[in-house]
Order: sequence, then structure tokens, then C-alpha cells
Amino acid sequence: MAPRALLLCTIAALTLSAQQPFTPPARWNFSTHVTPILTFGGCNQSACHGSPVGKNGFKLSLFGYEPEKDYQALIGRLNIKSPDESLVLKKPAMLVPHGGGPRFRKDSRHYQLLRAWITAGAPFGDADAPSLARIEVTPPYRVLTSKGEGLPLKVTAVYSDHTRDDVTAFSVFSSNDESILKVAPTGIATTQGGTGDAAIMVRYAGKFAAPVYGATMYASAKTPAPLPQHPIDREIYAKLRQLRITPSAVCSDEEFLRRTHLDITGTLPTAADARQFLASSAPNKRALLVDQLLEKPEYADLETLVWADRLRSDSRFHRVGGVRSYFRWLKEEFLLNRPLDKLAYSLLTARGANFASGPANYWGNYDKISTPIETAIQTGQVFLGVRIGCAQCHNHPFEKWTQSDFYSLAAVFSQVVEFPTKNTQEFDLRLDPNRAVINPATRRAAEPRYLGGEIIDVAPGEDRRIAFARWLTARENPFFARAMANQIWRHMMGRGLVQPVDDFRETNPPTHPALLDLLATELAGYNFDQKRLIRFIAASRTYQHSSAANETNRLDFKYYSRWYPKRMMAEVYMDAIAQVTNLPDRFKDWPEARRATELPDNRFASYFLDVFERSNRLVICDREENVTVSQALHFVNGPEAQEKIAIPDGRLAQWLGSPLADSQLLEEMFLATLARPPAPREKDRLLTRVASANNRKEVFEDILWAILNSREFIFNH
Amino acid sequence: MSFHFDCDGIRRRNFLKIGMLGLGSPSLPQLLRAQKKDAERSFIFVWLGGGPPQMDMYDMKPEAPEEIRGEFKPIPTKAPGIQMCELMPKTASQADKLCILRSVTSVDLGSHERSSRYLQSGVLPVPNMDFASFGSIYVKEKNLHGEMPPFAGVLKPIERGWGGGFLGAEYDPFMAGDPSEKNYQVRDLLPPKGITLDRIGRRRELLKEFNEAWRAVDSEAKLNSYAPSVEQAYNMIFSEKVLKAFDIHQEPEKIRDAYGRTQIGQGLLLARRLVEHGVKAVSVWMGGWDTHAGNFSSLKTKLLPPLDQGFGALVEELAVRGLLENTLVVQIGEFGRTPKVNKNAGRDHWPKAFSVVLAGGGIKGGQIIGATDKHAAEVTDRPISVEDLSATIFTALGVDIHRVNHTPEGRPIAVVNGGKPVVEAFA
Repeated sequence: MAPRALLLCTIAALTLSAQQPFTPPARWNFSTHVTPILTFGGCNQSACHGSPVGKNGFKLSLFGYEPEKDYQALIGRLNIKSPDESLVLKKPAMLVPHGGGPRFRKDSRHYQLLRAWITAGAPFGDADAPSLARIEVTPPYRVLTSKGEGLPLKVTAVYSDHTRDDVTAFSVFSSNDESILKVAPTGIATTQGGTGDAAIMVRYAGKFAAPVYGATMYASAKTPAPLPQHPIDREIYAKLRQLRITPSAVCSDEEFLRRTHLDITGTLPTAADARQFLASSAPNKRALLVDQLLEKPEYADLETLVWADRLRSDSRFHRVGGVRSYFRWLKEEFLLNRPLDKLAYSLLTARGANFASGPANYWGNYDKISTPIETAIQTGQVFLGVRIGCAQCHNHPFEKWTQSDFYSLAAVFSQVVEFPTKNTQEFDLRLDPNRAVINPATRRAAEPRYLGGEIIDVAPGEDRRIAFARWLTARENPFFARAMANQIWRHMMGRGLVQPVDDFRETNPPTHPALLDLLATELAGYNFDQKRLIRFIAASRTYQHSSAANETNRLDFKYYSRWYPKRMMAEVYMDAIAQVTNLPDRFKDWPEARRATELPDNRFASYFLDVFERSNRLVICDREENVTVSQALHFVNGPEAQEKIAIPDGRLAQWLGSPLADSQLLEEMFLATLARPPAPREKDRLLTRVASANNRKEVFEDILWAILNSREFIFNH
Repeated sequence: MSFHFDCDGIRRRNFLKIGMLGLGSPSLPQLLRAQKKDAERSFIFVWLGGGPPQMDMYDMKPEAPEEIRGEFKPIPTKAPGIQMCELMPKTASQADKLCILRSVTSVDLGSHERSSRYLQSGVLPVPNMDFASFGSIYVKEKNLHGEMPPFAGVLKPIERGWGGGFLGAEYDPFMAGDPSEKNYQVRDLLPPKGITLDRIGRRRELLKEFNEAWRAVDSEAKLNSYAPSVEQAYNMIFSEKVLKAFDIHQEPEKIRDAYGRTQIGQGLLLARRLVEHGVKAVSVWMGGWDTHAGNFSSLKTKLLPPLDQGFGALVEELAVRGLLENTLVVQIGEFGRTPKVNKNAGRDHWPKAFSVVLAGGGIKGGQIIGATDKHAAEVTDRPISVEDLSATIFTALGVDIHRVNHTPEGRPIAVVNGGKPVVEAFA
């Protein structure tokens, strides 16, 4: 988890003074002049008066989205005759006690503007007064090159009549990466010593912008010559040059072999695989390997697991019958390599009983079908890459989606109804064309719309999900290809170009916008065949970077100057131990699973899988990749690895009973676990240890144990 | 001077100033005192999963009609004027150390899951993320690390919300299991069968060689979390103190009997033992309180006697051993239960008004705060929101309630979401 301190609401110092000349506006408009002061002061945030019940009898709409209501709330607290006696001035200036503490000073422009508005009779403003069209932030992108360097930002409000106004002093700023740039309430961004880009979120009167600025602390970057020409590398290397980060070298064959096995199939290469690949002198052997791996059935197993996480296939929601049908269907999709647009289309238009029809489970939740609201949230996160669920409760301060957008999306899914089957745990999806979703804000039926677009107009009685699924999976759809490409990129590279992968929004920009567009275009151009995109990524130098860091890219976590190590997923780690020791796990009640990766359900009782944090599938989110103390205790003292290492018919017993000499045995062990032979010094050290031990079996057990618990083994690197 | 941004923005350094302005209530200086000697506070969180019935325990209504007052009678307690259920004599004998909040009021969230998430974190649950439990926030805010795991969980968590949530798995409690089991031992603390400590030591050395040989320069957070975790694991395995802390078998039979040979009894005993050995937060989970049917028979046979015996012994022992002053004990469930007994002699969910019990940690005992109406249905005096309760807990633990943590996506989450501490609870 990268701790990105994005200070949405906590702004430390509000000590702006009023040295700048102050002219009150000619025509007042409550929402363009007064609301920004309430937002700037934090008055309308959820912990304060923006709370659903207000605070101490004074309630404002959250983030100022309902100016009429705020106006009504405010006018009772004004004293038009003697403006300075108004509570809305005395409280924030702490001239009377204020539970919220001081918000702005009496000599600030905020106080003066509010006072001028009261003096002017506190008008709400004319309906035809110019409204705020957008805000602009200058300067454009640039890279700062020393620590402590400041960059003053200027925020300009552009009104509907094309007039412009400097509103820097009334804008709220925050940085999405404070190790790179911190931004003061005055709008001056200052470099902090970190290298990279940071997006500065700027808010004013309900409008926002997120310009990006860079900083580098390095003198120059060493890039390979000639520069790599793969389209991915062109984008990645352009940014590295801009930020003066020197990329890592290309990884070794050993690393590439193990990395692609784990990424594409979730398995380790065997010792024989390793020998063959390392010995091959074919110039395109890396590409050939990727092709072979993509055709293995284990590819489908791993993708099924990844998608079962994403779709939250869970026997608590879908019951055993449901998770099995979901699992079988997903596995077939990936075995046959059905393209992702078809997969999405099948899920979104599913009908029938969920124990028989796999994709019907997309619509289920605790024995019954999901509400349209739940389906909207899930569809947003899985296929659109947006967390529209936040807009169910409130308009998001940094997000363009409104409550109305949310309910319009939910309305797309409102025709689905549940029909009981003979099995009480099963549900049958049918259509009731006339069911609607009520938007609580308007108390009226929400109009079904494509997200951010037109009304979905289907003939009476028609399934509007079909129209929606066609819109979504069209090549030119602005969400789908990008969301899918980003997920595939994250799976391969350890980090999404937009991260988290389900949180696309203007204020969470991609690190490499052009690369994201490129990947989306490629994927759509491949007719959504994800294998082809995986091949495309695996062929890049970027994917083939070594994971070893150099001095300038040690701290790089998002520009792909090195390959970021990933801790094996719980299931993959469990299977890796079983593979190395040649002792497959058995799964009670799940005879179809030969490996943990093939478990259809994440409810299978296993402390090992729990402690290594398999997805709980309660919420859609990335798995944890940190190593916890409980995990470490389980490495050290857990019974599974010990039993598997020491069992009489296991792999180690076979090796020990074979004519292999100690050094050959070591080599075999290294190839089977780390996909590399031991380094000469390592080999000497271990052979000395073996020679001086009085129990050959025990010392090899200890070596194998240590490898299975080592960082090099546990991390895909 | 830098100003604090959150509402109710009374940061410690602003306290006196605001007090001088006349805003502060008279007990603010006392709160300040409570916050000052915070360094060594411990926290025992006793969770009654399912929802304990307020009117059958701490808020009895003997004057109410039978279908409301139920089957049990109140008895006097050690604290003058405080009564509680006749099935809780041990707890009653410690009432002088207890502060009973009778007017806690929550929001109707429908399910156990959502209500449990609310009452374990103090933050209203949202669908797309998990907030952090009180214990997780405490050890995070105080940056508590050491030989002992800072946060332990005893018995089995009941509903979601007991762990680190958005703070990450490293703030989950270390799971100690069920100490009432006959051959109880903590999972993975002792080596697997047939492996001596000596051999563990040799393997440790080997593992260290492997890890040092590979990839020295790396700042990847997830990669780096490996080394300290493994180190901590070995320290625990080789630590006499840790093994001893979890070894409940070292307790004299007399003491084990005093807590009762039940899951909750032994669980609370282990909690005391852990606190004594330096664990800073312990959650003890007891289930079975969802008495929709047979409320009274369940309370009489399965629930109240074991809880009473264990909880009474815990409070008494903490006091005798001088630990109570610096240990905050909270007894709590996700909601209360309906005043009116249903047709199955049960009581249903009631989030509107219920009781929470506090002890130790600077809390003033022998008092009742708040009141409900004659049916224990509505709060009539001193409503205490879940956020207020959260503010009270963190104030007692010396945590700045205005501190803000961020989710990995950058969403700011305040330690307390806008509540005010119940100042009169403090000594």
C-alpha cells in the first residue's frame, strides 16, 4: 500500500491576510461567491456542518452542492444592519466561541467578501447572473529540479459570460503525493525531495481541476542507446527521461522464466523447464515462452481465480451451487479464450437460474438477486473502472459523477427480478420491464442512462441491459477498453496506470495517459483478446526490466523504471510449495480442485490461505501484499511446509534417495524453486554446511525450508 | 499558531485558550489530565456479539409491565444507588469501579454486520471499504511495537470490523485463540512437531544468509515488510516473556476457577495476563447474545453467569494488581434489545437505546450516566452517540481524537468522526 497522503479536508494553516486590494463583485451570485468561502473554510465538510444532521443546529449541504438550502440556512444567521454582528462572521473568526475553531481571520479576504455580501443585502443572486463555467489552473506541466523550489499556481474562474476572475485565494488545494509536492493554502506548490509527478487537486465553487507537475532530484538519466522502440517503451522512457530516472537493466533469462510462469500461469517452472529454457539459444525464446504459457490450462485457472475475486464469487452470496456454476463458466471462458467484451456482455445480459447459468451469478447476493444499486456499484468498479458507489450517498468533492448519474446507472438494471426456483438457495433471473428505481433526491423514477450520456431508450418490454452491454463493449466506449487494459497492465506490472484500478477520475490521473490510451486501443484492436495484450506487454523492455534497483530508481514506485516485486498470492504460494515438494493438497468437498488456485470458492477452510490474505471477496479491492507477523510465524513454525518437506514419499526424499551427488541435488533444488542454479559462492557455502552436518537428510530439509521461506522465493521478482 | 481544521477542533494546545474564552466545560482540565498520563494505557475490549439486552442487565425496569421488565429482578450493588440484574452478583460487587452509560444511542443499520462494524470502529459503515477497529487505531496512533504483539484477539471474532481495515493487516490483532481449550497454545508460536528450538535457530541462520545474499538494495515497502515481520516472529518464538504471556497454564488453579472454566472466563483471564505482560490492546469476543427466542433461558444458563463471573473477576483482579488505573475496560455489543418481549420469549434488535460499561483508564467508577424512559426504549437524558462513545474511548486512551488517517486512496478518516467525549465519565 503506497501511503498517499491526499489531504482532502485537513488544511493546516488558514492565515491568509488581506494585503491584496479587495473589490466586491458587481453582481452577486450566492453559489459563485459565498459557497466557495464555506468550502474554503471547511464549513460544509462531513465532519462539520455538512454532516447529514448538521452541527449545533446549523446544517449546510455537503460540499455546497445545494446552494438554495445553504442560502436558507445562512440568512437566519446574518445581521444585515450591522454585518459584523453576523454569526456567520463572528464564529469562523472566533470572535465568539466556535466549536469548529478559527476558520479565517477578520482581516482576511474571505471575511471581507462575506461581509461585503451581507452589506449588499445578502442577495441570492439573479437567475441570469453569469455562472461559473470552469476553472483554469496555470502554469502548464513542468518539471522542477531542486528541493524546496516553489511553484505559485494561479486559479482563474471563467464565467458563462467569458469574464475571468483570479480566485486563487478562495480555492482549496491538495497534492496527491506529498513526498513530491506539498501545496500551501496560498496555492504555492513546493518540492519536497521526492522525484516524480504529483497531481494538485484544486477546488473552487464545485468545480475542480487536477493539473500535474513533476519534480526530479537527479542530475541526469542514463538511458540505453538506441532507445527501445516497442510502443510501450517509447512512452515509459519518455517519462523516465523527463524525470531523469535511470531504468534498471533487462532481467536475466532465469528471472524472465520464473516471472512469466507466475504472472501467466500462477505456477513455478520445473527444474526441467528451467534447464531447457536456459539452454535454448533461440533468439525469440522469450516470446516463444510467453506463447506456450498462454496456451497452458493453468493460464485459465489463474485468470478464473483473478476474475472470481473481482466478481466476488463467494458461497455466502451465491451458495455452493452458484459458485460452482460461476467457476465452471469462467474457466471455460478462459480456456476457450473468449474475448473480454463477450465475457462482459454475457454477464451483463444474463438470465436464468444461477445454479445452472454461470453468468447469472453476477446478479446475485445472499440467495437473492442484487438490488439495482448494488449492481450499479459492481458494474462501475468491474467494467467501467469508476467508484460510482460514492455518489449513492453524496456528490463527490473531486468527482464529476452526481447522485443523479448514479441513479441513472442503477435504473439500467432495475428490470431484473427474481423468480423462485424449487431450490430455496437458488434464484432465477427474469425480466419485469416496468420496474423502476427511485432517486431519493427527486423522489421520482430515475431515467436509465449510459453513464454520463444519453437516455437508454428501448421499446416497451425490451431488456435495456442489452443496449447497455452493447454500448459498454463497443470499441469506442470511453470506459471499458481502458478499464480492462489497466487491469491487465496491473496484473503484469504490479501497479495500474490508474491506481486503484477501479478508481478512474479526473483527479486521479493515469501516470502515463498516452500509454493507457495506447493499451486500450490495442486491446480493442485485438477484439478484446486479452492474450494478445499480455503478449504485447511481455514483449516490452519495460516488462523485462530487472527488479533490482539502482540509485536513481530505488524510490520509483510508479514509473516502471524497474519491475516491482509482487508477493505471491496465497493460493499460488500454497501451490508452489506443493509443486516443489511434489505433494498436492487435497481439498475436502472440492474434488474438482487439484490446486488451491483451482478452488471455486474462497470459503474453503484453510489457515494458510487466510493468513496469506486470499481475497475476502466482501469488497472489490486489491489484495494485500505486505508480510505480516502472523504470516512470518506461519513461515517459521507452520506445520504445512515442514510436513511436506519431510514426508517420506515427497520430492526431497526422492532426491535424497537418488544417486544425485550433493552438488547436483543442490542444483536440482535451486532450479525447482528459484529457476536458477546456485551461484558459485552460494554453492560452496551450502556444500560446506552439508559436509559438516551429521544428518544429511536434516540439513537438506533445512536448506529447502529456508528457500521456501526466503524473499527470493515468496516474491515474484 | 497553527489552527486545526476539523470541526469540534479542540486540539490539546487549544484547550486552555478555549477554556479561557468561556467555552470549555468545567471538566476540560480533568480531561487534559487524563490525556497527559496516557503513555502506558492498556485497552481491553469485551465484545458481546449479537446485542446484549440493556433491560436485563444494567438498565432494569422493575416497575414496567411484565412483558417488558422480563423475568429477572434487580439487586443492589457495591455502588450506592446502582442496581443491576440478579444474575450478575460478581459484577455488582465491582460496581464501584464501573461507569454505566445507559443512554448510548445508535443508528438502525438493519444487520448485525453493519451495526458491528459501526460499534467496533465508531464510524458508520460504507459498502466499499472497512474502517479500523478501536484497538487497531489505538496501536497505530501510539505507534506501539515491541517484543509483545501490541494488539491481541482472544476467542473468535464474531462479525466483520474487528481488524485493521483500511490501515492494513499489520494492524489486525494477533490471534490468540481459545484459552479454555484443554491443551491450549497459540498457533505457530511453538515449533512444529519434531523440530527442536536449536534447529529453528539453525534454520534462522540459513534463512538470513539467503535473504542477505539476495537483493540488498530495495525500498519496496511490501518487500521490506518481510524482514521486520520475520524478525518479530523469531523474537516471539525465542522470547520467554511472550511464551509466558500466552501460557495460561501458569495461572494458579484458584485464579482460573475464579474467572470460571468457560470460554469467556478464560478469555478474560488471558486478556488480563496479556495486559500484565505488555500487550496494549486486547479484544475478547463472546457470541450468543442474539436472543430472538428464549432470551431469559439463554441469559440464565449460557450468557450471564459466565460473563458475570469472568468480568467481575477481571475488574477485581485488575484493581487488586494495580492495573485498573491504566487499563480501560469496555463491555459493549452492537446494539441493545427490544423492550417488549416477543412471542418466542425473545427480544429483537434495538439500536435506539442501550448500555455500555466502562471501567479503569481514568474513568470514574460507581456512576451511571444517562437515562432511558420507563421501558428502556428511548433515551431521556444525556444521549451518547456512537461517535461520542468513540471519543470517550480514545480520550481515555490518550489518543488525539482529531487526528486524521488516510485510506490508500487518500480518503481522510478522522480517528473520531465528529463525536465529543463524555466528560463526566472521567475521574
